[in-house]
Amino acid sequence: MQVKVKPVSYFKKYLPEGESVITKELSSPVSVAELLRLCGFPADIQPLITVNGRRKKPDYVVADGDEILIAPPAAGG
Amino acid sequence: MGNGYWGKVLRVNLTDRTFREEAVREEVWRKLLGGAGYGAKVLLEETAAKVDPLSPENKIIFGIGCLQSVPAPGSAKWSVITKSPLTKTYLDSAGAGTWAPVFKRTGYDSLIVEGRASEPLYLYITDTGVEFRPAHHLWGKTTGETTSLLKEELGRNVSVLSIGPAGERLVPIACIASDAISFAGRGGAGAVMGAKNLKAIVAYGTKECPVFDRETAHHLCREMMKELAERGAGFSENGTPSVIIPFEEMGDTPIKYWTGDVWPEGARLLGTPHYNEVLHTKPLHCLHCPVGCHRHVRVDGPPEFAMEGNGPEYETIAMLGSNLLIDDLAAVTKANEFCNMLGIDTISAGAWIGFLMECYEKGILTDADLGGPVRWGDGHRMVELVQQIALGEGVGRFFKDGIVGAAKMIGKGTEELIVHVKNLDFPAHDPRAVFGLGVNYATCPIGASHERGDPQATALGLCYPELGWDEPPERFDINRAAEVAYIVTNTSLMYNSLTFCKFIVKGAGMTLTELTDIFNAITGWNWTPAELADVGKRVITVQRLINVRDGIRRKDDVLPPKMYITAKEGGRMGKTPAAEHERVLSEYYAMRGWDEDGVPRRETVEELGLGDLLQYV
Repeated sequence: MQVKVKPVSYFKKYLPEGESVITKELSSPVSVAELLRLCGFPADIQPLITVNGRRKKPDYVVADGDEILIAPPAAGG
Repeated sequence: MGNGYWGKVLRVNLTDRTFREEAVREEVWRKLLGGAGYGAKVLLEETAAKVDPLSPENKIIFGIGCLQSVPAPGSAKWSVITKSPLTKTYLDSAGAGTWAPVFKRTGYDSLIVEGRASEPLYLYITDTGVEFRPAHHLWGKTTGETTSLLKEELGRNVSVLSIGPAGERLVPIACIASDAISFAGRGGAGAVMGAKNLKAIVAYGTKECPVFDRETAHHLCREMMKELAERGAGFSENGTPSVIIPFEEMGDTPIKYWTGDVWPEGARLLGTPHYNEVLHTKPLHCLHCPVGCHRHVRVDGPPEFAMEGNGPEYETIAMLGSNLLIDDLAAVTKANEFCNMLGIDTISAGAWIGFLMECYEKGILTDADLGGPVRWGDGHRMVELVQQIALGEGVGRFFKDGIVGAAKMIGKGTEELIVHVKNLDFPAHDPRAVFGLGVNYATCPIGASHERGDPQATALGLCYPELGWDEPPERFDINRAAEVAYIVTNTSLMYNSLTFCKFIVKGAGMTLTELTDIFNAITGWNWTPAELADVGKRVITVQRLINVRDGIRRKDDVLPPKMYITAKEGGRMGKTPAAEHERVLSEYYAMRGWDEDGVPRRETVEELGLGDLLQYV
């Protein structure tokens, strides 16, 4: 199965050089938290997770074709 | 069957000490929701053009909406709407705490206060009506003291809005405190209360407002509270101080009163994780909040800064910290406490001190003018100046008419130094770092505000898939600057009308769809998320009509000179939206259906279903 991980804002610094998205091949379903670990994100980033336009928690198990947006909490008030 | 509205508002006249309830048609709530939307309509219809904000003829409205009829996440928010003594035009500001849901239970959807009391009093609003109670014993007291005394007097369960000495002294940046933990900070609404001799508004209600489907609404609220506590765990742990470092990296955070480009070492000392390490932080919750983004902190020393209580949040840390090259969190925390207790806006206080520091550095103001040196980075001096400003003493004398008044009084080219729109000081987000902020600040009905449109949040990832925004726009895309301001102003003004804490969306990750689901369970109106967001289009038009009536046009929708100067290094190096401001402004006006001078067109007002307001166009 294949999923896409797209970090936004300052999480882009975790992307490979010159890339805007990480395409990941998985042999079996994993949680978003595990997926982020596999993609090399630090363990403490506590992102807001959106999968195919819907908000999910880190324990959501990804499915083939999922597009996962990884954003920091955006509150700067 | 209910819809989350009582269908009536409470009108209080302080001059003759009377009150009455007035019916409001459902159509009004369907158009404007409540809060800042309803309040703007009242202000437009009931006050004259250019009314003196501190006169009895000005009105002050405390608006809430339908969310307060159930324990909805983020529903502790209320809006205060009035004419601003700072900008002399439309103002709304928002606070949270407990007041909104508690007031809703007294049986009203909003409160309109008019006239002026002959002597200091406070209002005690309950299920059975309004008591006008003497407030001589509270006059001169801080917001914290006032809140404690009133809770001792009336019981722990009452909810208290109050002003501090700054409001009594008509300082034009006086704020209103809610239970002394949350503050409607901007634009001087506290001075309007002070001018009316109104020290506090206490509410205690027990009634349950009818809703469309209470069982579903309560179920959704319970589920969302649990869900958002998990989604927002990071935000709960770190609060808004978590964005100090990333915003400094982007070039968004003010440094040296908008003349500095980078200050990473300062950001490291002011933001998390250092903030949590030195201030012993705990989350501080408003009613019905799954996050608790306010901070409870403790400063052990030095002795002059020791305190325990509310901690500074992003805006305050930036405006009283990096903006002044102060990296001492203890000093910033103490200054924040003085601002909260004496009752002033931390944003404008920081801006004004930054202006003084720049004037001192340039030799425009001297020791004799300022009672001693006012140097960048001097935390002790900053804490002194905050108190002078709050009490209208010392350097406070420069700012009787805000930053514009100070520049006029001082002269010597200082008009080029000040950073504001319509006399409201910039908050701690830089349009040169997020281009949508330029047109957003320029056109915002209250002046430069980051919460009536919040493009800075899009730079961190805020997007609305329900509105066709699957991903946040690129922050330097000048061709999308007007669109960014348009979308987030619509949503922000909708939130301010609901009244709903937008940090539940931005910080805890609630979606617009989830909010709409709760809204529909309350109202039974079966709206789409886009229909809900569309309310913002009506609200800004009503607010803009007040601006226009006060003489505001395109000539006033401008950016200050410093925004034309680009950074030589850092996250916004070489960038500014200012050079193309006029083009973006025209695009924005066109999206809004305003003419080239920024005046809402008659057909726009009609198309928005605001035909009853055509007489004001």
